[in-house]
Amino acid sequence: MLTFTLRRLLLAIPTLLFISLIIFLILDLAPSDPTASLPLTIPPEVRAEIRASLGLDEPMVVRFALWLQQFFINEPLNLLEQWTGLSFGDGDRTRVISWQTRSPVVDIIAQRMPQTLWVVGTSYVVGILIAVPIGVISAYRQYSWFDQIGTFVSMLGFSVPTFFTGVLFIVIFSVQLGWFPSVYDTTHVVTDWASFVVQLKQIIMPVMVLGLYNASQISRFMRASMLDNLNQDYVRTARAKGMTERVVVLIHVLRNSMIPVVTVIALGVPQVFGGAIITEQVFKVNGLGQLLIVAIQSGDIPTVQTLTFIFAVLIVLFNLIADVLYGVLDPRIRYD
Amino acid sequence: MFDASQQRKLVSVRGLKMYFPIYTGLLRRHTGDVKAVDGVSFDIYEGETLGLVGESGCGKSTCGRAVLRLYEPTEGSIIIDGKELAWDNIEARRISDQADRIGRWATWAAFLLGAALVIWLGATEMLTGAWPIVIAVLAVLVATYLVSRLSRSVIYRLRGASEGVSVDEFAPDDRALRRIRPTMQMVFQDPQASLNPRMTVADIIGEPLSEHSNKTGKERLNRIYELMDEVGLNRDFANRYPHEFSGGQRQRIGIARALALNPKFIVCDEPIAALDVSIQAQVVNLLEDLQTELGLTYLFISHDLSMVRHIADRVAVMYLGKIVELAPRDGLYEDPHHPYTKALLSAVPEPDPVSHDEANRVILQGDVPSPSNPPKGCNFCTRCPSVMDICHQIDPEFREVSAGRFVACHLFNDTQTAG
Amino acid sequence: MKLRHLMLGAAAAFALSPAAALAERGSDGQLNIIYWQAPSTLNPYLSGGTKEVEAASLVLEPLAGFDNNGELVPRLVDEIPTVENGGVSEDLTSITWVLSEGITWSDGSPVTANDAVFTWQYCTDPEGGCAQASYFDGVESVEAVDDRTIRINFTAPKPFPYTALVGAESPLIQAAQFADCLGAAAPECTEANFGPIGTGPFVVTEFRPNDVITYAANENYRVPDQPAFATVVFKGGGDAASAARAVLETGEFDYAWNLQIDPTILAEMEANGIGEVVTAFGTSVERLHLNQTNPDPALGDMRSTLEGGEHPFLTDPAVGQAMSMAIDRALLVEIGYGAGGQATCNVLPAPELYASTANDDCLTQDLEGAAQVLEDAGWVDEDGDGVRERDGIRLSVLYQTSTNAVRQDTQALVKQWWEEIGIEVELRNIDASVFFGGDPSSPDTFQKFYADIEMYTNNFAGVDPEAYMANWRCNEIPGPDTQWQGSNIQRFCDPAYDALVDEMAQTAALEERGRLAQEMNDMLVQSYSIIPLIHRGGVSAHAVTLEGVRMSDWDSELWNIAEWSRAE
Repeated sequence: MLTFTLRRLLLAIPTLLFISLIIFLILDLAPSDPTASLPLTIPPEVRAEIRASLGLDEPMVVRFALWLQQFFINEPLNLLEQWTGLSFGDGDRTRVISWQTRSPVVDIIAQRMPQTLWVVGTSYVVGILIAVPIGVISAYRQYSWFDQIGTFVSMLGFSVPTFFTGVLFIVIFSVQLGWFPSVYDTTHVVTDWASFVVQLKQIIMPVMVLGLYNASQISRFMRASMLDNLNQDYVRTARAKGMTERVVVLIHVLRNSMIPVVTVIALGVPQVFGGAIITEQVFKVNGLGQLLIVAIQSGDIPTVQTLTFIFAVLIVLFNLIADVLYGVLDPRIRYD
Repeated sequence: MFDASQQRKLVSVRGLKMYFPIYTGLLRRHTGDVKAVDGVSFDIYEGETLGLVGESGCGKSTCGRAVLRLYEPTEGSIIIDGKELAWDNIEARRISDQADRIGRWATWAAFLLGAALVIWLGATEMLTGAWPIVIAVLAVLVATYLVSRLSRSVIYRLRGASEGVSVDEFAPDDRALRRIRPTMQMVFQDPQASLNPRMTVADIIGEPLSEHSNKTGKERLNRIYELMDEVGLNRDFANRYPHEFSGGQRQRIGIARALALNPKFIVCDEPIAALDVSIQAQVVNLLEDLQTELGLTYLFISHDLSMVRHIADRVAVMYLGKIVELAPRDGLYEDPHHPYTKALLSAVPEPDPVSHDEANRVILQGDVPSPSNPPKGCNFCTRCPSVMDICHQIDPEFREVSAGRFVACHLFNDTQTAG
Repeated sequence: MKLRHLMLGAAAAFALSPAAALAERGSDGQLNIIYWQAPSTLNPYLSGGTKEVEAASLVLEPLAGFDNNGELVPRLVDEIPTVENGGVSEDLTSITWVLSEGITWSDGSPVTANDAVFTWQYCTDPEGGCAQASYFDGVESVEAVDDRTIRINFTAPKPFPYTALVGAESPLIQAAQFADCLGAAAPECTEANFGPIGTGPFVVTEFRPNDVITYAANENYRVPDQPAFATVVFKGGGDAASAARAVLETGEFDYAWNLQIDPTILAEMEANGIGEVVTAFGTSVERLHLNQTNPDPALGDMRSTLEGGEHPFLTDPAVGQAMSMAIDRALLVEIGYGAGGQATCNVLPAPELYASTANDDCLTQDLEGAAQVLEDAGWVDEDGDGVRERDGIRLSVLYQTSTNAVRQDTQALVKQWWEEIGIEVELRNIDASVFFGGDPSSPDTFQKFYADIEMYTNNFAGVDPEAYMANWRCNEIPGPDTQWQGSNIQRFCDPAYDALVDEMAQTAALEERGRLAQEMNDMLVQSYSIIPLIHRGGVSAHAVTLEGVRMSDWDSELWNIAEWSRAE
């Protein structure tokens, strides 16, 4: 297992380098101009100077090499310095600078991470917590009313876009009932019960919107996997042993059914870091998804490049984790 | 030789029916049934092996599973070791189903009402603060649980009393059934699929022990080792997973698991069908040895007539969900009564080619009819070489034609009435 | 719901009583502002976006700004320098500002003339990429005469010298804070860019780029009882409709900016009574440009250039006049703009001084009159196909604009009216990023104008139209030799117009400048090479409990935020 993991990690390095080049090329070829969103009143000469000050007049190769150096050498060294307090070299390194904010991209990402992880992460967890029991019961009582309704709701959750459910939730719960705020306050800090309630109130709608979407996806997987296993002979064996239905379903069937579901869940984790672009927009959570979309809109290539590359790393990493998990969970699989 | 009349009946099955409903159309309406087992009756005496043979698809495996209540039988009585496992009283069953349904609705209603109440109280700020909310949520859960536990038994009694059915006539519920389970076990056909791939051998064998006995961990381990010895497995393999074993070894694990709780009755559902021929004999011998050693009673389901002849004391032949003939082994093999039995036996290759008379070979024409739409009259009438007019009209009765020999065929009804 | 209504009504009534006006600094709690496009920095010199400029305007102040009528108001000075008071030199080549006594930065240090000099150096550093560099155009030098006196010298006479260090786009920054941030080092000063020290009513307590900004009242603000609010939360993100909802429907926010949404939806939201919609009109005009050169594809590279020759019929003022008369501008406003638009007949509709009234006939639609004009000019439908022609030339136009729901509605209506008077219309829309993208290799940019008629909005920043009106000089016509740069999009050329432009550049007196601007406007409009349609305004909304909002399009919308207060 260890050699397998190491081999896969080594293999990931050229893959990621290639991915970063592709991202860079795509972004470079795409028609985007960091000054395009500025008002028409700013004259073309000023725009040209702004572009020059961003380094856009350098050739592509130079910019790519610079980004590689900034991202793979300067930023990690900076992180190391921050964590260890040591200093390497003269400390005068150029960092990956966002064109919109003129500040280091990595700092903004670090700032955005908590709210994205809170909202999207919670929704993922909630989604899983909803999906697993629903999937289990749906499969256990296949074609029952519960299953039919579950199927319908997950079809709905899967096919109705979050910008619709999000706005619907806002209209019902914020405008009509006035229960929850429609705007997420990213500066809110939980210190006591009252502030926790405030946090709960502001997080509940985005979490439910995203959770519904995640749950409908995962519950389908869960149901299919449970159905596969429920008809296996070993389930009959377990019943013949005189185990309670609870043990039969939750220990025997569920444990085996979780193998593919856990890998699906692991593969979905990078999406959590990627944020939920639309839901973040609707509730103004302003996490990584919103950062990405705003960066794309304003042609902020360094931010887009860094974000998409981090997503690529996460995807490669979680693919590996999913594979390793499979090996851990299923004794029949060996990576030797 | 085996004398049926002096033995105690360990298993007694009467009129067992196992129908699987067919739902079709947009609204999934109940439009018919697959009559996998359609009115089967037999007894198994303590210590004997009853062979159950038939073509694949004739319902023999379903029958075996239904006898152990791995399915909910549609109708009929199953008594094992003096305990009724199924529904002798159809009325009782109807009442029980009704009560279950009402109980389920009551539980949901309680839960939804409670949840709605909490949400309403929370939304209108009548309920504030951490603890009141936690307590309210807990209260709803407890109330739901109580309703689910109590409503059913209350309704059982109320409904039962009004319809004149005693609660005792209800089939054992899941709990009661589980208590009976140690008496009866099963060895499955596919040793690979019937073992949970994520459990070690020790877990597989030991799980029923922890469920049904209060042995300590050490005692349990000892018992596991003992069982492994008994079926001829190396103790060192206790922590391995099923996929690490060969087919024969896996079947030994399956047998050890079945033996764990000292059962009296074991249904062997084609235990050797998935094994290499060289291994088959080993496993069958193991089963025979265990029978003598532990005084086990077997229902041995197989399509392998030679193997059944080797192991069984009596043999039942099934065709399309029904037993067509049941007789002591030797009688059946030497003088089969039912035309279907004859046809089956004529297909068994004989070791001596001279005695294997090609002319006597009965080859059946056509296919087995669908169990969802069996023919009118005798089930075998579409393929029977000795078919008569009456066979298309009346389903022959399964009756004892001579001592210990049962057959369902109009040919024998005639002899009886004539004689 | 009813009860809430009544209470709000009561609150609004109470707000009118004079008692509310007397407030102490920070006595009104928190002010919540939502800008659906979030500011990415608080240094307006590093980003030209309106959102950044306005977010920074709470902190950074110019020497003088503009009020909601477009008139200059002193901020860090006691009076506006003019030729009369000697602040502007007779030859119009320098202006001298004198800082008020005792003005301090929010950190307590005094504001000096050196800060102004530094600001000029900061924005004009060639490596800095300053987004507001055009405000310092024509500035030869900025010098500190003494601690409180700033002199700005121009390279040439500047009749309107109120650009550098005037208005929210070119505020004063603190020399001490930005000393190490000149030129290429500008982006490295993240701390300063995200938390500039200013003289304004608020100081930044936290800045999260593209997300949220929190401010607190500036303890050193020059007006003792201002601002009334102790803190401000400036939230970004979402879209215009949700920002409107947060102010007008849920009441979570007090102020929302740039609510360009369907006017009927906005009106429905406003009907809740929680907030009200405010508009301010600047100089933005949605207009039609009538191509004066020939866009015939047969001309190849010469199409839509002066070399390609005149347009076959759009140079005839009668055609343009008929087109203008056929349009019901009021209906266009009602359908697409609501409170955010007014029908107009002028390219230069504001400030009032420059707005002409000579063309107001166009405000009422006159289809019959339009048909008559064409008839009189000899454009008649001879072959009965519904399209007029003269000398074998059919009145058939290609009408293009950018892709945008309101513009496509407008196109459809205009097409219908024009076809009623016998002009055939083919519609086309182009993605905004291509249309306004300015890529010289694309045939679909608004500068290339490969169509007969095109529609978009343009405006100018500030209050002085001199540079804007110079857009229509003959030498501003775009063409291949200038990489299609140039702002005379409809290719209008009249030596008499150029003469007026030159005259304005020499004239300092406001009255006279107003007359000249009006004359130029009338000349343009009456040439019918340009048909103004809608005078577009900014649309914002504020809670009914928020007092003192004086919405302006001439400066930051939040220009007087120090005076805002909460009604009891």
